[in-house]
Amino acid sequence: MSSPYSDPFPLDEHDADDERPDFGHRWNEAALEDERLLHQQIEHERRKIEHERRQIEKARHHIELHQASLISKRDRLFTMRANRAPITRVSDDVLSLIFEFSADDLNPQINPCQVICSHVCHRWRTVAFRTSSLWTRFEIDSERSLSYAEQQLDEHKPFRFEVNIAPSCRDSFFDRLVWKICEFVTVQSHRLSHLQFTTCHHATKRFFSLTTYDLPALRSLAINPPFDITSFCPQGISTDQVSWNGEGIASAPVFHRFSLKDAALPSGFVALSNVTRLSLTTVDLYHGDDLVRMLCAFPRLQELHISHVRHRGVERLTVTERVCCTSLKKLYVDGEPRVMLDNLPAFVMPNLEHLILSDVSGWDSQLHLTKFFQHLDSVVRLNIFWDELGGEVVECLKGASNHAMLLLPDLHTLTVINRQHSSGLDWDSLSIRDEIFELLPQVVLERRSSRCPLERLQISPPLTKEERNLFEGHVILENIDPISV
Amino acid sequence: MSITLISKEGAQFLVSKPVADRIGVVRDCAYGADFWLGYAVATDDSMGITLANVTSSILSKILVWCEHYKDMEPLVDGDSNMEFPEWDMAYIGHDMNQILFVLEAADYLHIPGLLLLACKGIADVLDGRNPRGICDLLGIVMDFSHRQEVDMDKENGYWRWFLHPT
Repeated sequence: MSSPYSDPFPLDEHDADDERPDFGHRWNEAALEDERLLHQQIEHERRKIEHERRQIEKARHHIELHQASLISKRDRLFTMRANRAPITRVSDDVLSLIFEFSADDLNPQINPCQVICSHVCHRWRTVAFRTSSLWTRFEIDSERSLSYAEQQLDEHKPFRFEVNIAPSCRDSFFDRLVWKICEFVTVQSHRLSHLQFTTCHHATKRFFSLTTYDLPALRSLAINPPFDITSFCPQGISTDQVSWNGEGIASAPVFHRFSLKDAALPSGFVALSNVTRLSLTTVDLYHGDDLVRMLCAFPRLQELHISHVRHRGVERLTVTERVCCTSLKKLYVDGEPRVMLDNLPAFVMPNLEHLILSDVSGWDSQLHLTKFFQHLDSVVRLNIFWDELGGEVVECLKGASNHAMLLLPDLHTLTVINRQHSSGLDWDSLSIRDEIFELLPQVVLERRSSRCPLERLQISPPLTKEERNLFEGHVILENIDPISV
Repeated sequence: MSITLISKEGAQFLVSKPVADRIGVVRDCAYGADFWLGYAVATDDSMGITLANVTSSILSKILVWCEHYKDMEPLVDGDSNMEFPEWDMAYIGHDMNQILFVLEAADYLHIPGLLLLACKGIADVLDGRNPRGICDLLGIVMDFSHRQEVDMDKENGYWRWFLHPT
């Protein structure tokens, strides 16, 4: 890399020796007076250049000194400010609590909070090491990791701990390991707060069928098979492999959060009456009623996330039974919930308040969307994205804003956001954004005369001043951070 | 009955009893003596309780929270698995300085529910940042020697790319 202070006047190669070799000594001896004069001038110029170069060196040295002094003063200023920073006044106990909240993420591989907190400064490192709950997450995929977990729990005796069970059933020691994990969980179950399975479904079933557990502290369970399931399990996700049906966990008194991913829904799920949050991601359905029965198993459900429900065998699934989710307040629909859209009357959600529609496909027409909104008429908050579906939703709301056919009559907050974790919009989204944005003021104005006008419009990324002027006086406009949504 | 709270700058806030009950320090000042000695200290409206460590802007923000929760049982304890309502998350926001002042005041005034909420708010803002980013955000001096940094890198080789991004 070149130095920022490289020589501005590099010496030309020919200047090093102005006695040209091709002329030779004899010719120079016979030089005329004016040539001698020129020689002297050249020598003079060379001295001047040398002098100037020394001046530059001196100045460069001074600049370096000033720069070092500047950096040192800046560091001192930062240190002085840091000594007065509000975080220094936070006690160690409270700091420890902040770390615990930081470590609340269920998947520690994405958020290595323990590592980050201990790399900030000496004080944070000490506090992080003293916060036992940061160091009580164990991934058990071998006897070695199991004995490490046992040793740590014996040594530190934490209030609670979390386990991710991830052995591959291809391993020869699988049976023995599962049996040992069962023993471990049985002994430590009184402080097990989160259980995760990153293994195949029949290994999960095996774990719960081997023994009965008493799980008084268990709060959440995630069943999340690995992406490359075939390297884990000889059966993979075969059509006849139905996932675990909740057996063995129904008695957990504070269990409230359940997440199931990449699974075939069992036809009968054990009732889990304490669960308030359920997430079903990429689940396979063989019968339409399986989803209904699954939801029936969660009578106190408050939040439901349904993403990519796939049909197995048939294109269209018919639902004959009915589920009434009276406690459900928040519904997040993502992917293609065809079975729900085709059988809307079977899914009764009388108290639903917050609806989030993300990338939902499978609508036949605006009529389908209209029916969906008519069915969920208690919704007061609606979240959409700057995508095609968002455009259709706004168009649908605009088309049905008069008194007679008002859709979502209690809607008071509409949120339009870009995708999570993306800082801006791509070209396609920009054109869709323009289309949606053109319709939004009309929706706001038309609903203004209805019995429940739109009160809040939350938008991300933020609008320009001219754009904001369009809504002035009609609705409360809020900028919103998509991550918070 | 109402109680006057006086901020660091001397601004006065007249609050009702249910709102004042959310604030542990005020509760103890106003009714603690009543409980132990048989008479109340702050029965007179004109008497104020000075909260010398809380500025007016933070006190007014805290009173919004107290007003919202005035009809509920005060939270005594909690843990990081707590679920916070949307109103709480919108209230605490993402402004780190503001959250830190709220945290400090909640700790000083002894409001456990708000303290936990502020911890959650800070944890959310810190989420996804590397140690250098956290130091810049919070004004912390990274006081490890070069030798210690090398040792720590060895401990956590796998996470080096995240801890010291190029």
